[in-house]
Amino acid sequence: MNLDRMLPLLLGGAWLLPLLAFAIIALGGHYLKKTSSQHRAGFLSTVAILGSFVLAVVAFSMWVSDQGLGEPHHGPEFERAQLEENQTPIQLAALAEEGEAEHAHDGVFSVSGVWYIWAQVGEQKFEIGYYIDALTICLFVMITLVASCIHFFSLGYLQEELETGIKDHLVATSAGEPFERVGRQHRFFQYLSLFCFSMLGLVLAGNLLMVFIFWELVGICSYFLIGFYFERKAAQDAANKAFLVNRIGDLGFLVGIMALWGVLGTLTFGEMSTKLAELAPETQQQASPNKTTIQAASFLQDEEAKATNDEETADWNVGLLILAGLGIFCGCVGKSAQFPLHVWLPDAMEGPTPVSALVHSATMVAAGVYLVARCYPLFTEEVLLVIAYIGVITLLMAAMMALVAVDIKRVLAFSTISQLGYMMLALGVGGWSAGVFHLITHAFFKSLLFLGAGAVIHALHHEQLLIRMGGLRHKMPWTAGMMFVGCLAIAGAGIPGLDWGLSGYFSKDALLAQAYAFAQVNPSHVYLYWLPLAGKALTAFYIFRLWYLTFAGKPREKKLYENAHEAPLVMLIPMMVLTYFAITAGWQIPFTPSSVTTILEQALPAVASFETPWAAALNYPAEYLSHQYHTKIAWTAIATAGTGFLLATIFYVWQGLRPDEVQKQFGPLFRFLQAQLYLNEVYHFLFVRPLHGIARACSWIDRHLIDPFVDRMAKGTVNLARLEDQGDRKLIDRPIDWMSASFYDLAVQLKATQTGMIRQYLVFLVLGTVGFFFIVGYLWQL
Amino acid sequence: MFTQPIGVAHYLVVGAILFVCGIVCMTTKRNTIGILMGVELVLSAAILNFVAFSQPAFRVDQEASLGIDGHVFALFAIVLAAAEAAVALAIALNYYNNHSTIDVDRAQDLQG
Amino acid sequence: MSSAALLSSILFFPCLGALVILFWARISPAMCQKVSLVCSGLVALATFSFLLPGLPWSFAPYEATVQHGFALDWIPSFQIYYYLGLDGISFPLVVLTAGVSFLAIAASGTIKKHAVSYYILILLLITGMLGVFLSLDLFLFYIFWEVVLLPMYFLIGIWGGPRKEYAAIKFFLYTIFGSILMLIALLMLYFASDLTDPRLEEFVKSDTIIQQTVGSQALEGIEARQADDAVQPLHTFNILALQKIGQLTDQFDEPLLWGYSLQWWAFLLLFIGFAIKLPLVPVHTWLPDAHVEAPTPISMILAGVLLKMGGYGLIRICYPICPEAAQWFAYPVAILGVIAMLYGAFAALAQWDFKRLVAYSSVSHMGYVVLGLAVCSVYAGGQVDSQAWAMGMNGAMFQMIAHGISSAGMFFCVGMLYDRVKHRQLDQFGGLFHRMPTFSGLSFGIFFASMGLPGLCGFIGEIFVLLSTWKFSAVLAIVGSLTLLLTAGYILWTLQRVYLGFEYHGPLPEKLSPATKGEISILGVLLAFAILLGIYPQSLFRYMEATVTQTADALAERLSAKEEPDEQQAQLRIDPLEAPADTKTLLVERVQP
Repeated sequence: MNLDRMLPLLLGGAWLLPLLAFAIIALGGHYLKKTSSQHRAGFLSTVAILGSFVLAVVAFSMWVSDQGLGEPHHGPEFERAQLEENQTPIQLAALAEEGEAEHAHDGVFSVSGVWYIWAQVGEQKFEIGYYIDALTICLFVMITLVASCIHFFSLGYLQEELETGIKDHLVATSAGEPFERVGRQHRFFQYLSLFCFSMLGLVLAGNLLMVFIFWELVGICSYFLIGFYFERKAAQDAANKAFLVNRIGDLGFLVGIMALWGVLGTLTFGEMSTKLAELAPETQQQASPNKTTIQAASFLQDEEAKATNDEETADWNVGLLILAGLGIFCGCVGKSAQFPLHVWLPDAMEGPTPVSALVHSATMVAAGVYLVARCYPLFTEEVLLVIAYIGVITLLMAAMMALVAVDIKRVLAFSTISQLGYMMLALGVGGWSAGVFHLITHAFFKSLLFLGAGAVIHALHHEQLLIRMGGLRHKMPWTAGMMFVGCLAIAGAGIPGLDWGLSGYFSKDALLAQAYAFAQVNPSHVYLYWLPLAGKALTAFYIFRLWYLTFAGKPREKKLYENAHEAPLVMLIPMMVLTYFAITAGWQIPFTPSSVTTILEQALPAVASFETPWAAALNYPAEYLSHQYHTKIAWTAIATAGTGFLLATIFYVWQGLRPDEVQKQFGPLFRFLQAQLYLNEVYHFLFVRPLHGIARACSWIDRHLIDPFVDRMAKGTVNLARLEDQGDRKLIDRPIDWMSASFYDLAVQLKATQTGMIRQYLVFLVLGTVGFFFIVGYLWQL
Repeated sequence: MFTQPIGVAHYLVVGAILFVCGIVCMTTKRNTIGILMGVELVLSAAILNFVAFSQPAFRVDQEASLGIDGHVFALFAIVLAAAEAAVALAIALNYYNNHSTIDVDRAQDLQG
Repeated sequence: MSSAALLSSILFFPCLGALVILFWARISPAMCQKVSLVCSGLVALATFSFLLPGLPWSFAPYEATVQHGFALDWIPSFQIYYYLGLDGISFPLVVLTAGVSFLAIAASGTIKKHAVSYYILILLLITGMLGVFLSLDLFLFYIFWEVVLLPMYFLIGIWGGPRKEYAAIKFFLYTIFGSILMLIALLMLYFASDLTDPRLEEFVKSDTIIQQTVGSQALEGIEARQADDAVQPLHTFNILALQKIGQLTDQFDEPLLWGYSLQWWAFLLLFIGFAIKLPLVPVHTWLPDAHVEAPTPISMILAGVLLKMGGYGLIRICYPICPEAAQWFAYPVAILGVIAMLYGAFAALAQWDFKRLVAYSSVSHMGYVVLGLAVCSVYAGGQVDSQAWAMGMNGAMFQMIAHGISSAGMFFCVGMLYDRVKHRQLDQFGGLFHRMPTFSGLSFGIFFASMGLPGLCGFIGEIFVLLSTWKFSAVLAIVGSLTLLLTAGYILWTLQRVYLGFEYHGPLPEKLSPATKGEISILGVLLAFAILLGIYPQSLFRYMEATVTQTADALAERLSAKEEPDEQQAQLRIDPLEAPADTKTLLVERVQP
């Protein structure tokens, strides 16, 4: 089998199938809706994504049969480390350096190529291409699997959207009645298909520009899906907010792309590593051979000047690289809802629940993590440290907000933010595979949790407040059970002694171990380990709080409880599939020493080490080194998670402590958290209002400065013309008029002499002649 | 003056007297015919002057000319005067036909 | 078919249509529209047929030179020729003009008042616009430039909204002001040009049009000059020849006024003239008024084509003829471009009138064009990065085409709503997605194209311009990219206020009928092109890239050559007999601001 040929074909097909579904529904949606078989659009969409899933699985199996499952990285150093149990951090650091040097493998197998040239300007080409490695394949399988489950779930969840008269109780018309509208299930599946296409394209993309294209496209799909109930003001605002906040991140991303383009001259993933190697300070030659600049005579520069110039260029390039890294990470902050751009995700829960499951927990928000993983070689140590700290801040903050949230979906949204923080942290402390592994396991259990929440919301007829639920385990045993599994998975439940646990156990363990290893060799960054550990207790607490409030205890609202019902099979079966993966995604593949992690590690990038002038002395322990801590960390983690679980049980089952009293005790903190640290208000005050102010100022300048200026100019010209007109009349016309008038007057006066008496004329004639001669005669004599 | 032989000056004096008589006649008569007679007198005065000034003594190019320029002019003027008198009489006749009078003072139609 | 007949018939075919309408006794408005539609449709078909491969007259892609160029005597005593031709810069704009005009006439169904004069004027307008893009003679260009002005004035002033007189006069005065400056610059260039320069020998020998027109005269002159004989200068209005003169010789380098060279002044005057048309902040205020008052089809043409004339002038005349001045002005122009981008976006954010908002979005988008043209980056050591400049220019050109499509579509959307409910207040819409679903879907596509969503046409121009700006000045690139955010802001807010929501809360709700087939097809065509250019921009780049890149390369070469004080070059440039000794230093100083 020829991977080079088959993989692009298979994954390209998997990528384009949802687009086909989208196009058909978009163009023929009206027709599809009108026919008797009303599920048609939904089925089309579902079949498309199932086809994608099948293609992705085929591609995966081809990959596995060709490349193998990957071996766990237990190099010789590992055994040595195991022998010498109590190492000092310094030893470990030395070991890490050594390991890095030995282990720096640049042989990441990947298939990359070009489908077509998107645009070409001069020598510069921008291509629509692909870059396929183990990461791409795994994510393809994960995305198509989760998306297929969610498509099926949506068929059930959006059943009511098939009706022609849906009453939206959240929208009141001017008459005070609930707004009634026509169902639009086909639109939902249209957007969902477009989203799948964009998301798969994002993962498949062969260069950063293409990533950016699909990055924005998933953003717009998210906009449409959040705003699916666009009659509701809250949904509109949430959709706008999501897109705009993401755009802020995208600006950073764009700056990163520009900086990267400036320093590397390429945006293609396949070429980046070679370009980076050229850039590396040891081999620093005059960079950017790609530029066809017109060489001028360099008689001004002697060799010395050139040398210093080179050094400066190197510094400048590294600076640009840091900027590029920060910029790209900024995009990830927006998309993955990291602090401080996380504010859109809780609001995004206005969308239908399957959307929250697919877009806002499993796939799109994970795209930021994916991108950090994909661009890993680009990040210098400073940038990685920033990533790690942002991750820690995010995970703690979101976990605390989840503690106080009262809406079931919002709890899950904060939980998503928090888990994304974990992933970022993992990547930031060098745990590439741990971070990506957590991304995959999280996709399964979080979409499971969301679907469970969706089933509950569906059963309670769109009631989302936790305090109005309770006791639902009697009514919906299947949902309750599967959600419990999901809760266990996210809390990281497992048995450390047997090394057995749910998926979350393995991934969280891996990333905490990496954080611990990092903290060991970088003692000043020890909080990068302790805070996530504390976060784990919070995770367990809030997730079980959610479960207890929903399913345990007695029903708080009788009427809601009475009407509740178990979800239909079309919703339960996808949840079962996800439950299966939520349990097993971390397990070893039977009869092999491999697991998902080892497959992913086939794509583990070689980290380019830069002697950056601003670098703090950081040591990045190689990931396989952290394996030695796994058992130790697992016990600690289980203990903290257990504490959280116990606390939640005390609060909400045994009623040992009353939540409202605790709330009263911590009133200000509680309110502060519930208001999401007032960040929305702060942003509104700091950014939105000034922007609108500037906008009004610009408009004002146009209307009150430029326009009047132009108008005055015009008026001035007209006035000048009037003045000139007056001058014409007064200075030139008037003397001429006066002259003609006076001649006329004279003539009138002379008229009196015209008596008509011929004899009189004759006398005058004679006298005149005589007089004339007298005068002439007189003058003659003179 | 009377003691001197007849010369140009005498002719001129006669002509002037004739002229003044004609003018006086024209200005005092209200009758159109009378005025015409005055005109004739003035013309006669002019013709007399032509003849008077045509004597050879006044000429510088005596060899080259016949010396009858004044006479020719005089004859010319006489013919003109006759024609003029005919036209004037015709006007007077027409005037009379229209206004039943030939009093020039009543002919004020051309008054400005 | 000869080029002359082909291009001339395309150019004057609308005039023929106008004559038919004029002499057709008692023609009905519907018939007028049909005649104009057929006429502009044939023109559009003809221009689109250039895209098809294999035809004898098809336009060859990846080709930098002028195609179908021909020149006929017009006023030969002043070297003025009827010189038309197509190249990568003008060809896309000609196609855009023909397409947008056709759609605009198709959208003119609501015009009932004085239909005969309306369609005659609009057809004349089409000829004028095509002439601007087709003519390669500066004088001819200027004539067509003015020809465009008058029909537009009447079209706004007669068929416009309540303040039409004000808007029309404002439009006219602004533009005529620019035209006058242009005319001055044009004459300056003409009288400074001289084809008998030995440095132009190669060009004169190789250019067929020059050969055809003044070639022998120029060659004689060159020979005489080489033999040190006195020669009468041979002026020219040929744009390509002027470009060569600007790029190869120093004829426009003479100090003119206050220590600045002739090309400096020419650039300034031309730039102001074109900037008004573009329009660039702060000479943009005619645009919102003209748009708000103009009827829908005229707004489409105004935004879709007329604004492009400014950008076309910059890229065809201003920059290639005055390279050093362009470099001198690089920063001011780039900063103006960024200001226009931001200012337009901010102003759009504050608008309450739908059409005014779209008009300001045009200001913002045309700022990209200016920025893209301005980015001649200069590196230390005299290297000019022609690649970045080529990218910026290509981005600017692409942005013009993309904006032609998206803004025409946006104005059409606004017009459709105005035709129905007779108001444009943004706060009095809402819920249109329920009442006009197909229209709303298409509008979303068009507005997203304008927002610069990847996959649609607006994105490419913006990203290219910003990427090239990064090489020029990172700060400007970062500041400029803020526009992306603002654009998203005002577009999304507009969409929310107009299309989303559950009910329409404005006057005349009963008039909100779903879009007709004709309206849907107009929007559909525009959206189809937006998508095509978005997912496969190479389909446009293949036609224009070669010419644009060649222009940028030629300019970069000139500027690079200028940077190095090469002995030979200096001797060539400065005739010691004519120029004072310090002119040389003056020149060098001027180049580096």
